[in-house]
Amino acid sequence: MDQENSQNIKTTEKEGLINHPSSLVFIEKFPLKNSDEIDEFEILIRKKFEVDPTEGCTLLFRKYYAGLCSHAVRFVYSKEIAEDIVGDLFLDFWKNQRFEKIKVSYGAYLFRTVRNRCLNHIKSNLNAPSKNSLNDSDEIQEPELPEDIIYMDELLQRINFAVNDLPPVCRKVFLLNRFEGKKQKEIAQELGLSLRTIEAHIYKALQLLKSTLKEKE
Amino acid sequence: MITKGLLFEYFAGNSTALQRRMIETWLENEKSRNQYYEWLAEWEQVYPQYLPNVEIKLGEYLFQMDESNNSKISVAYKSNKKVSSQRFPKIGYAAGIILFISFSFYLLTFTNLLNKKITTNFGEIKEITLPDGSELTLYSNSRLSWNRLNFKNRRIVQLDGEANFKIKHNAKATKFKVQSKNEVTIVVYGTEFRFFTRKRGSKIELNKGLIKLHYKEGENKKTIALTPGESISLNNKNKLTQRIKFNPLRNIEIKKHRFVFDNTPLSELKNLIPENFGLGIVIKDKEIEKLTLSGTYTGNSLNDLINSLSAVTGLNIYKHHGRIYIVPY
Repeated sequence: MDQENSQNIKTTEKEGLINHPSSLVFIEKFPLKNSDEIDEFEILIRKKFEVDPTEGCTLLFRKYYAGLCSHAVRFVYSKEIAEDIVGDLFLDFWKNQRFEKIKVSYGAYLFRTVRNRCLNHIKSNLNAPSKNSLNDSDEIQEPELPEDIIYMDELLQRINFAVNDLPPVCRKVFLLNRFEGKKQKEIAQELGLSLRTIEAHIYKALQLLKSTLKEKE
Repeated sequence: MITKGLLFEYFAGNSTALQRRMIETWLENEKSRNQYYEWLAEWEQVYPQYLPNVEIKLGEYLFQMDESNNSKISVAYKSNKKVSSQRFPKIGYAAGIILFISFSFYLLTFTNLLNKKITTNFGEIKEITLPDGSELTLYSNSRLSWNRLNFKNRRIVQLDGEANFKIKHNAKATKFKVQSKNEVTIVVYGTEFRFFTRKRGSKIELNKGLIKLHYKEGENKKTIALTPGESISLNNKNKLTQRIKFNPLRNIEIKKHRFVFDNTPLSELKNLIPENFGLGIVIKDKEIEKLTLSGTYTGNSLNDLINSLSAVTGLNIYKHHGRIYIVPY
């Protein structure tokens, strides 16, 4: 399988060179070597997992943890929840020996799973109806559909826009509460607003987010 | 051809419908999907939403893996034992006893050769780099030892006294253990902490990372996990006497100056002076003992300490016949 794929890529690369001279520039700028480097890292980690799973997990953690948290936070807008989700993901990866079964690259598995977990979190949290196909996020064996990847990216954009579109004070309150993890009382003191107002702002923000998520269902 | 630049713009939400369509087609190939996630990971590195503390979280993760690992091992051990006791009951015991005797003999004779020992005299401070690159400062009147042969595989040191540790993570993620005579053991992966362990009790101050503390109080085995900025004190019977938050920055000071007082009563000198300089101390007045000190004092030599103390407190402090006397003027 792998060999076939790499051959495919080589032929398209040649076609690209012939048909569009401009793509030559791109190839030089972002050389395909990159994917070979990924393979080298993948092979290294795969070997590590055969000898010492703890070391394999440690290497993956070092490489991906920060990125995964940063990505998760774009969905859930809370550092704490993002770190919980990513932490659980790594623990599951170790306990259930996911590293033995996955067929895609480690990075692909981790990022795909973290996205699904984030989606499930938002849905259960906002009481929005859940899309069944994404529920068994960790047992993924079948290849991912391109439209599912695109769906996730669009969802991310929608959340991003929804938060940006909140009225300034409402956004500030929401971010202090969710992202910084501050208590409503603290925020009230910091901004010199009543606790009632803070509650109302957070409620409004969550309602808007909820409707954003429902739009596409 | 989908490029990294194109995908980065797409992640940022700056792409046209046509480009998105192009990306969707490209994603039908498994290799492209791997590449997609690899670039997504890279994009998150270049444009992070925030920066989590990876080292601390890695420490927690290592502990979690360690815990689930231990439960696996104990199950395997139980089942093994069953098989061997059924097949070779007596031979097993006999071999065990012989092995035990020869092993303890071996231990007795070679302990001194096997173990690397470092000690400091009264008033002496040593900076030590361990074979794994970890650094520590061994304070006055303290003893540190470790096994020369085994240290690479099992990072274990024994401490009696007081030391500041800067432990390195190693590639294999093996634990680092500090054992003491008080049956207090510290387990870490990569952290900075200060460990005081003498007859009168133990104190641990954690600057960075995560620590697990195992100790025996009477017959009970106890475990405490410490988070950065926490300080724990145990008395001479390993009873927990204090658990507080301190300012981790303070310990940086400790490296420069030997003594840090923080509302410390003068009576504490009754411990500090004998421990660090091997001298007795006499405080003539109960009221004086209640005075408290705050601040850092350079006290590498005893005379320095005496001079600064008497300057600050306005008390008459002097050395006489191997003892320190503190008296009002």
